[in-house]
Amino acid sequence: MDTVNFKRKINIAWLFKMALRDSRRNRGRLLLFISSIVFGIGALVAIYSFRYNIQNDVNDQAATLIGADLTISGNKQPDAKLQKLLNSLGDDRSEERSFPSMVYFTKSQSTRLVQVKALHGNFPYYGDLETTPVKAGRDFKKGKYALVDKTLMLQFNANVNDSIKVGQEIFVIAGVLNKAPGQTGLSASIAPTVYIPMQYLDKTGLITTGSRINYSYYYKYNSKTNIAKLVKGLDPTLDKAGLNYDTVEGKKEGTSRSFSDLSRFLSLVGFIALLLGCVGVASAINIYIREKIQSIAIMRCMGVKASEAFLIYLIQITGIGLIGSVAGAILGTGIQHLLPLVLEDFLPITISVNISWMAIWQGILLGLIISILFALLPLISIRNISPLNTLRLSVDDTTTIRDPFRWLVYVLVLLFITSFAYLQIGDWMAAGFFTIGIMVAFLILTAIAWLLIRFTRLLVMSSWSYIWRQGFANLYRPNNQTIILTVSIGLSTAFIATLFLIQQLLISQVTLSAGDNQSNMILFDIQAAQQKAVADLTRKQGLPVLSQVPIITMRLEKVNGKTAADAKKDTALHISQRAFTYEYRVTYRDSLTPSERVTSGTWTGKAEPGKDIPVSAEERFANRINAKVGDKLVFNVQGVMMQAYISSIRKVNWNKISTNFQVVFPTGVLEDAPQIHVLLTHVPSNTVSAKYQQAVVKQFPNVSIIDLGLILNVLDELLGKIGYVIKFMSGFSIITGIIVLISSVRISKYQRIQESVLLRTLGGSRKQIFAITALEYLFLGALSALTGIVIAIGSSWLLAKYTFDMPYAVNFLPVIVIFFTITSLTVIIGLLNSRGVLNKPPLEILRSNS
Amino acid sequence: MLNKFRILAVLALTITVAGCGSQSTSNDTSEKAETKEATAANKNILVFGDSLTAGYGLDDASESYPSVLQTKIDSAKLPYTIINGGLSGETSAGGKSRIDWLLKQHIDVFVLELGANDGLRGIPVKETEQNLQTIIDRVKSKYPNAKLVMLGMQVPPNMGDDYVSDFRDMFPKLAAKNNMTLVPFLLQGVGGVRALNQKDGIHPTAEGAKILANNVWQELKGLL
Amino acid sequence: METILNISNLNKTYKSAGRLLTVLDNINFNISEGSTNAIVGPSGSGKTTLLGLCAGLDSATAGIVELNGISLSNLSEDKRAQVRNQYVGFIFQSFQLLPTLTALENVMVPLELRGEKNIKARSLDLLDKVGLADRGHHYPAQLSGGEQQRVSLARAFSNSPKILFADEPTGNLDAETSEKVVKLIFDLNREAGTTLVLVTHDLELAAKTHRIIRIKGGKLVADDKTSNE
Repeated sequence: MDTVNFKRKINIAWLFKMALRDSRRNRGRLLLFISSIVFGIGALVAIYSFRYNIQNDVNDQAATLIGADLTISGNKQPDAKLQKLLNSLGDDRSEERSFPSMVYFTKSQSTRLVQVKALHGNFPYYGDLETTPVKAGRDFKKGKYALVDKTLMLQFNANVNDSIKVGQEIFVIAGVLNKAPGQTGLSASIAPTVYIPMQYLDKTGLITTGSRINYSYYYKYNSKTNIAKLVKGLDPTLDKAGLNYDTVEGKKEGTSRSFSDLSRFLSLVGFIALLLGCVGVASAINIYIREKIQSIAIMRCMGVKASEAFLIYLIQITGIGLIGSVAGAILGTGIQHLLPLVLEDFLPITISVNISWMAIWQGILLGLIISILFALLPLISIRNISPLNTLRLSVDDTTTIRDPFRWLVYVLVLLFITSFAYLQIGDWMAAGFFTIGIMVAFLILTAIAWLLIRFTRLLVMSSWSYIWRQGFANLYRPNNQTIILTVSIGLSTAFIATLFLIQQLLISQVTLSAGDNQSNMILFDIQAAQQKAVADLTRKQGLPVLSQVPIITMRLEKVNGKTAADAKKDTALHISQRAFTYEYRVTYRDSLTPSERVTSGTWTGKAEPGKDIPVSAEERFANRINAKVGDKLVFNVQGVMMQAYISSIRKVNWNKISTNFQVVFPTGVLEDAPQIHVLLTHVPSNTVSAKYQQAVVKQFPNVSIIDLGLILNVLDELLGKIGYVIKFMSGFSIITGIIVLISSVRISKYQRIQESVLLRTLGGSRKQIFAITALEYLFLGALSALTGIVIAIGSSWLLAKYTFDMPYAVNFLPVIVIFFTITSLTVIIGLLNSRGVLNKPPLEILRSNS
Repeated sequence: MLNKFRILAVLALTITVAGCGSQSTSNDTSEKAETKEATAANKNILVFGDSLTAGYGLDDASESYPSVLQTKIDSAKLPYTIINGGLSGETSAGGKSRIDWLLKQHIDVFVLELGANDGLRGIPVKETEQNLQTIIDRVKSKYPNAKLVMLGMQVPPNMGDDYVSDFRDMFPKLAAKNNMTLVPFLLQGVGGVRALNQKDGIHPTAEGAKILANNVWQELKGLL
Repeated sequence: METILNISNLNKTYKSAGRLLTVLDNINFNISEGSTNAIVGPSGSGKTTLLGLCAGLDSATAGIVELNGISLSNLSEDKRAQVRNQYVGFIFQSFQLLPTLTALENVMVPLELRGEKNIKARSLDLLDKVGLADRGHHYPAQLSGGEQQRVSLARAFSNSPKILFADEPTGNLDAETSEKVVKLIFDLNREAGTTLVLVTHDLELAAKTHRIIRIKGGKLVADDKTSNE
C-alpha cells in the first residue's frame, strides 16, 4: 500500500501558474477591481506630483520675498574683520546702503522723504526689480540713473527721463519701480523707494558723520547649501556685531503662516488620497475574494492546501496590485501633465509639470503595500474556506470564524497608517491621533451599518408594499452589502467633506486684502482737530473710511495696588516687568468691534462719573499682568492717574488689518486726553493712492501715511497662489474621492445580479426591480453620506483646532450639496449596476456570470 | 501665536513705531505727575518732548536726561520739580494737541524738546515751525511768567543739505523770536557717537543721557 | 477483497439555533476496493453529510473514518486535503469546475498538484475518453451541462484515485445526457478499477451499483447487495 506524502513541497511555479490562470477569465470584471486601485494610486501619484511641483514653485516664489538666499543687514559699518567675513560668504554677493533722505523732483520742484537704496551687484537673485520699461531694472546700474517708486512718480507727475536730485547729485529716472523683492518689510513702506547705483553714493554727499545708514549684504548660493545650519554658525558673530540676518525660511515663517498651512494642507491631501486609495482597494479586494470562495472550495477538494490557496491569491493580488499601481502611476502622471494644459487659460498660476519620479515610486510602492495589506484580511479567511462548500450543503459561514491572524492584520494596517501619517506629518503623537481618528470613523461607520442591519430587520413591516419590504430587506438579508458599502461610502464622504471644510476654512484665512473692505492704507498721527477734516477729505476722494479710532498713550501704574517695584521684588505676583514699562496705546469706544469677543465679564461701554472706570483687557494682556475680571488697575494717562478695573476680558482676532487694542476704555473719560487718531481706508489702485496721498500731505503735513498696498500686493499674489493651490488640490482630491466611491459602489454590481435575475425570472417588472434597487442604494447612500458628513464635521473641527490652529465655522450649504451629491451618485451607480439585468434576458446573464 | 500673519500686526507696529518708536519707556513720570497740587514753595519745570525726554529704551526711568536734571537740581537744593512730559513718537503736531492737558498744572519753567520726529518723517520745516510756535503761544498765554527754554535738534546729514540746514536753523529762529533760552543742540557730543547711542543709533544710552542733561543744565541753571 | 473505506460508529451533530441537531447517528459500514456503492435516502436524510465525511471534506463529531487505512479523524484539514489529492476523486451535482480555468486545465489541476509528469498528454487522453478532446481550450461557461460534467469526470479520474465520490452526478442533467454520463462513470470506473461511492436519490441509478446503503433520519436503515455482482 502506498503512503501519503504529507511533506509535499509547495510548488511555487505552479502557484504562479494558477494565480495567472485564475485571473484570465472575466478580465472585464478584474478590470473593475483593478480600476479602483488604478484610480486610488493615480490620485496619489497625481497629488504627490502636484505637491512636489507646487512646493517647489511656492518655494521659488517665497525666495523672492528676500530676493536672495541670505541677507545680512545692520545699521553700523562693519569693521575690517567683519567685512572679511562678509566677503567670504556666498557664491555671488551684492551690497546695498539704504537711508531716508529728502529727494528733490526737478520738474515739479518739490521735495519728498524717500528711502534711498544704493545698490551694487546682481541682486535680486530671485525675482526681479520689476520696472517700466522692463530693462531699466538691470540697466540702471550702468550710469547715473535711478529707479523711482510708482506711487512717487504718480504723486509728482514725474516721467521716465525726468531727473531727481539725491543729495548733491542729479540722477535721470531710468524706470518706474513697480515691485521689488524684499520689499515686504515695514521700513520700505514708510517712505517710497528710490534705487540708485552704489558707485555714485559718495558723490551725493549724504554719507558723512552722523548719517544714519543701513548696510545690507545679499548672498546667493549656487549649490544647495544648508542655509539654516550656516546662519546658526554665524549667529553669535553677527549678533555681537549688531547685524541681523534673514533667510527664505525665516521670511516664510515670519511673513505668513500660510506657508505652513499650505504644507500642512498638502500633507493632509496626500494622506487623504492614500486613504481613499485604501478604501477603494480594500472594498474591491474584499468583494473579489468573496466571489472566489467557490473556486477556492473546489481547489481545496482537489487537495490544494489552505496555505497554497492563500498563496495563489496573494500572488494574484500582488500582481493585480502591481499592474494597478503602475497603471495608476501612469494615469496620475498623465493627469498631472494634461490638466494644466487643459486648464491653462483658467489657471492664474503656472504649475510646472516635471515628472516626479519620487511621486511615481512612492505611488507604486504604496499601491503594492495597500493592495497586499488590505487584501490580507479577506485572504486569511481563504484559509478557513471549507471544501464542504462544494457540496450542496449550506455550510455555516466559516469565513466569519475569528481567526487570530485577523488581529495581526489589524495591527499591520494600523501600523501602516500610523507610519504613513508620521511620514506626512513628522510627528508620532499627531500621527497616532490621526490613526485613532480614522479608526474611530471606521468603527462609527461599522456600528451604524450593524445597527442598520439590526433595526431594518425589526422595522420592515408586512403592511408595507412589496417593493419597500424587498428594498429594505436587501439591507439585512444574507449576502448583503450593507457593511462594506456603508464603510466605503461613509469613509469616502468623510474624507471628501473634511477636505472641503478645511479648504474653505483655509481659503477664508488666506484672503487678505482682496476684498474692498479690507484696509490697505493707514493714516496716523491725525490730530483731534483734524479728525473730521481728514475723514471728509477721504470720502471726497471716493474712498471709504473703514475705521477711525482715537489713540491715547498711557502707562500702567498699579495692578491691584502693586507697582513695578513690587512686581520686581515679588516674582510670585507673576506680573510681567515689561507690563509697567510699556507705553499702552489705548482707545475708547462704546461697543465691541466684529473682531473681538468677550470671554469673561461683561462689556461696559460707558463710564459713570466719579466711579472706577470699567475697562476691557485683551486676553494675553490680562495673562501678562496676571489679572482677572474685577481686578483693579491704575493707569497714568500722561500725568493724570485713572482708577480702573477690568470689567471684561476680550479675545481678539489679530488676523485682520484693523485697529486692535490690548486695553479698551469706555466712553466718557478719555475724550479730553491728548490723543491722535488713526484712519483706515482701502485704495483700489496706485493712481488713486498717489492722488490721495498727495492731497493728504498737502492739507495735513503732519499726518503720516502707510500704504500697505505694496506689501499686500506681494503677499496677496502669494496668498492667492496658495489659495489657488489649496482649492485645486482639494478639488482634485474630491474628484478622486468620487471616482473611488463610484468604483466601490460599482464593485457591488455582482452581488445583486443573481437576485435581480431571479426576480426577473419570476416575472418582476423592470419598474419593480428598478424601485427595489433604488430604495436599497438610496437608503445606504443617504445614511452613509450623513454619517460621513457628521464624521467630517468632527474631524475638520479637530484639524482646525489642533493642526491648523484657526477658528472653526461650518458653511452648511455646500455640506448639504455634498450630501445630496453623494446620495444621488450612489443611487445612480446602483441603478446603472442593475441596468444590464434589466435590459438583457435573464438566462444570458446567468450564463455569462457563472 | 507670534507667527500669525505678521503683516496683519502691522497696524499695531505702525501706530507705535513711526520715527521714535515706543515700546518701553520709564514710568517715572507718575510720581512727578502727581505733583499737580504743587505748592508755591515747590516750583514746576515741564520738559515737553518726545522719546528723548521720555527715556526710550533705557533700563531704568531714572536714567533719562530729565531725571538726571532733577538730581542736579536736588543737589543744588533748588525748589524745583521736573515734570517729564515726554511721549515716544511725539511730533510737533501731536504736541500741539497734547499741551493743554499738561498745562492744567502750574508751570514755572517750560522746556520744549520737539521736532525730531518731524525731521525723521520729512515733514516740511515750515509746518513744524508753525506747530512749535503754537505750542509756545499756548504756554505764554496760560502762564505768561513762565520761563521758556528751547532745545535745538538736528537731522542726520543723509536727509539732504537743504533740509538739514533749514531744520537746524529753525530752533535758534524760534528761540530768538520768542525770547527763549536756547540749547543749540540737545544731542551735542552724543549724536553720531556709536558708544553713546543705543543699538538703533538714535536714542542715547544712560551715559549719553547724562551728557544731554549737561547740555541742558548749562543753560537751565541760570534760570532757576 | 480489501477494505478501502471503513466507517464505524460515525456521528455528526451540528449546533443550530442553540440546540444540537443530530445529522448522522452511529453509522457503520465498510466498502471494499473496486466495488460500486450507492448511498440513497430522502432529502435531508444526511446522505450528503455522510459523503462529505467519507471523503474527508469535514470532520466527524465521533467515530472513525478510515480511508485506505488512514484514519481521517486525527488529520488536520491540510493533511486531509493531501489524502484527497492522493486517493480521492470527486464528481459534484453542480460540476464545480473552476470557472477561470479551461476544460483541460481543470483536468490538469490534481495532477499538477501532485507534481506528476506528462500532465498535459494524460489530461488530453482523459478528455478524449470522455469525448471532449476538441473542447479542451473552452471555459466551463462555454460548455453545456453534460459537457461540464464530463470534464469533471475526466478531472475526477485524472489523479487515478482509489475511490471516487459522486454527489448526485446526474442531478442537474436531463435524462438523455444523464444516461451518457452514467455510462461513462461506470465504464471509466471499471477500466481504472476504482471504488465508486455515489450519493443519489435516483433509485434507477442506484440499482446499477453493487450495493445500496439506505439512510433515513441520519440512521442506516438498510444495506443491500444488488444483483449486479
